[in-house]
Amino acid sequence: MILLPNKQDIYSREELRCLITGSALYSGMDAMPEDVRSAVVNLLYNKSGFFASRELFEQMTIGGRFTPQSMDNLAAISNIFQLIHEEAVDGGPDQNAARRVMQMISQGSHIAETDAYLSGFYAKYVQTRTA
Amino acid sequence: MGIRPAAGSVKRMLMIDSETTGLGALSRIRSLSSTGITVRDNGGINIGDTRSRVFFRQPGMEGGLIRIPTTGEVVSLGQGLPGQEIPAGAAADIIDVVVNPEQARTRLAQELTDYLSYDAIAFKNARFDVEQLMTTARSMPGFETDQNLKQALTAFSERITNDPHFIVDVDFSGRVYMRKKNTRKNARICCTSNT
Repeated sequence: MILLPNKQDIYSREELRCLITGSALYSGMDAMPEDVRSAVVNLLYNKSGFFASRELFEQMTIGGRFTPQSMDNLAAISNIFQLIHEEAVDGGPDQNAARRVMQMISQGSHIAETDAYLSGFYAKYVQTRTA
Repeated sequence: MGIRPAAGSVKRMLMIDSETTGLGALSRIRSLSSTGITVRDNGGINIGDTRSRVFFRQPGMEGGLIRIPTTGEVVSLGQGLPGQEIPAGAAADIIDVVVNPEQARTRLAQELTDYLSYDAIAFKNARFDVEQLMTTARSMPGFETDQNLKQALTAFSERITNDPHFIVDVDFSGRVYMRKKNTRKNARICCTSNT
């Protein structure tokens, strides 16, 4: 089973490896309790600018296209379209909706009808796939 | 997503998305669409058909291009909407707020009222879309004297205030999901980086 953020995992792992290697923080982090270390890594990850700049994180409440998890960004960092395509081709429970959104996306995103469908599929995969 | 019906029942939800004329204080909704979703008692989700789609031609939108929802055709807003350039059948979805404010107010009131008939409504980045919905309603020409739209907006406001499960933010759920995923993965990197 392919999990939604697999692509994101690969990128974040590599990003963090680059970030941590050679850093003065590295040796210090070794001695940290696991939960603290995890929190620091998350902090580094969020500050790394991988998703988006810090400024954009601070402006999450503004329009959808500027959030780190806009449909554009989700398409880039996850396999959501692969999952939708599989559902359209393999006859998943939402095959008709999947086929419809595959047709609609060819006409572009930032169209309310298209993005409503995409948000629906995003919600579905977040809800039904193991984190 | 924080919404799960009792055993043996389902919940009806709407996934709503809006496109706006901008991001600032003066921005308004120019395109609004909703898709029906059914949430089952096992947490599963089924995605239905498009329930509604409407295009509000707001003041200042004399330029640009739009896609006609029913045909997929791309037309210039400079052509004037709604009008003969718009294919038959599409006009009902496209309302010029300046030329026909009453139709725009009536349609938005219908949308808001219809949302209330669902167990929950979901947005991606809910705060922005909900604020835009309410701002767009209040900025409609003639809002001050339109009791129908005022009542619909009041009912909508009361519902989102009093029913904590009514608004679902898919972005929030997504962030929690990805944070869990990343925390697990990042912890593994740290734990294994010394070996």
